[in-house]
Amino acid sequence: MTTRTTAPDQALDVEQQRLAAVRRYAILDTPPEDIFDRICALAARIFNVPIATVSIVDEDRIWFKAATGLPTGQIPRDPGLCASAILTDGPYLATDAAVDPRTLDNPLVRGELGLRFYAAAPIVTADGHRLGTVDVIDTQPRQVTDAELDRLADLAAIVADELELRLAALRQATIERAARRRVEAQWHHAQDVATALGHNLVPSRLAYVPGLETAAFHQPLSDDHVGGDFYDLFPTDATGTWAVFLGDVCGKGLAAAALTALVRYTLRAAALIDDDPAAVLANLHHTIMLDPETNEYSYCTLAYGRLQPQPVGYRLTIAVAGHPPPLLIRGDGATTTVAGTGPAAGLLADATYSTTTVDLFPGDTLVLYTDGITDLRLGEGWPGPDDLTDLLAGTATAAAAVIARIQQLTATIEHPHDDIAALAVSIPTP
Amino acid sequence: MDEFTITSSADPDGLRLRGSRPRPDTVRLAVTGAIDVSNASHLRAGVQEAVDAGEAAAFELDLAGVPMLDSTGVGTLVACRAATQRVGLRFAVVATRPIVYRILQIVGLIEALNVSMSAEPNGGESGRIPAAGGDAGDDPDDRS
Repeated sequence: MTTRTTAPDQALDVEQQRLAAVRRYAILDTPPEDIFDRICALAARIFNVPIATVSIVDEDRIWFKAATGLPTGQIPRDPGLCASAILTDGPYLATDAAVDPRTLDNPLVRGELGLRFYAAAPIVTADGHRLGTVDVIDTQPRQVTDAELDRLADLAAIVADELELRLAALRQATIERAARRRVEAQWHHAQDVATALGHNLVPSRLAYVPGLETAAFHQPLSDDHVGGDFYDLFPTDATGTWAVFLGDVCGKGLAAAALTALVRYTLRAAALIDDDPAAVLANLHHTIMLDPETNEYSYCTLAYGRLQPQPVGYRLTIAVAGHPPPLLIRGDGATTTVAGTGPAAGLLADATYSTTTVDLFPGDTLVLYTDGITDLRLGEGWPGPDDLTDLLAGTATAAAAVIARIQQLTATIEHPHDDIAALAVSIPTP
Repeated sequence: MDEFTITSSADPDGLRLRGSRPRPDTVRLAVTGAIDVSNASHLRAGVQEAVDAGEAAAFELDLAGVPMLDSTGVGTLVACRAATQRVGLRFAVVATRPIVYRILQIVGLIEALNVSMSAEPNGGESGRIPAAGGDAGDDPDDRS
């Protein structure tokens, strides 16, 4: 039998670490569990004694994880034999406690319980802390064999293993909980960024332009989705000249949103520098090509126009980069597309753009739209600008009515593949 | 014509790639399936593999079996062009389906990607005149 003892100062330190280990296994005050109940019953049967416990020694109490022949619960640590038993690495044995000098004054021995026989094997953790004991108790003195004490030690080792498993499971659960919390936090953060960017991609409402009727419509693919569609309408000088653009960046998600932000800011700045829409698009094109943050084959498609007030109506200059050509609905209902298409901005090193000029008169409506609208799948073939021309023909000749009609048409798309955006500008008839 | 297998053709996202040599100096990669964000990198890898497959002067990407391509797919075609041009190959796209042709037209890539509506079996300069017949009318709504 090992009877290693420890010096008092050191003992205090060891006891603090031992208590920390007890806390770590988070076993105290947990409900009964079959595995510990069975170990306890097995210990009682092996020794053929009326009482056995699986005890954990807490700071000031001995708490029974399992008990046979005693009610589960706890007793104060002070008189506890168990508290003595955990001071040694090996089994603790008192074959007749009434005469054993270590135990004869113990209240458990002298008191009502009348304990005479006590054997305990410490529950030792992998890192050497003795958390408690598996012990057997009788009210008669007994002799035991070394083989019986070995089995008691085996049972204590099983308890220790079980506690390690519990700890591993607890840690795993903690790790998973932390990972889940981290993912959730990242998701919420991404949501916030997406929402913030999303608010920035299209203005909450279009600016009021004197002498123009304007309307816009934006239908993201889903609420939590940062789409690639964007548009804006803003003054470029103090003389009543306005710039308007609407486009779509390739891809989805935050990378697309970041590119959209770059495109918007570049366009707003370039619009102040160049009057010519083709020059503005060339500027944008080079900005995307040179942007180190942007993926090599990221690009954006858009239509960009400039509206300059005339004695009657507005003069529109417009350029298109890889985008469906805008529609012009004349006051008499005649509908055409304006502007030929240059390549998408940011995609080809040698891209060039050209500007088209059209005069807008009262009753005329200009419609910019993204190709999400081409999800309108009507019959055979490609429902492109021509089809939209047909769809809009004769139905509306002012911005708000055109947008309402487009909104109505897009509502018929059962499974949209993309965001849908449209912006219309019309010259009211006097 | 000689056909060869593109090993990366075991694609979970439904894109099938088939390499061939329609003419001695030309490598053709025939694509079947919609090209989108889920499989664009797979197409890139397949093009690289076809380019590496042997000596040639021209590379032809056959999109006759492509019912649809999304914005990422369009960017990927430009990346494929760059990969072939890096090794000195002429690049061309065959887009017999009107929807695919129109997408490339709107994005402004017909010239840059050398897109034609029919394959040119005699290997001349690729024209942009739709061939009579062909499978141009095949199921343009198929986005499977």
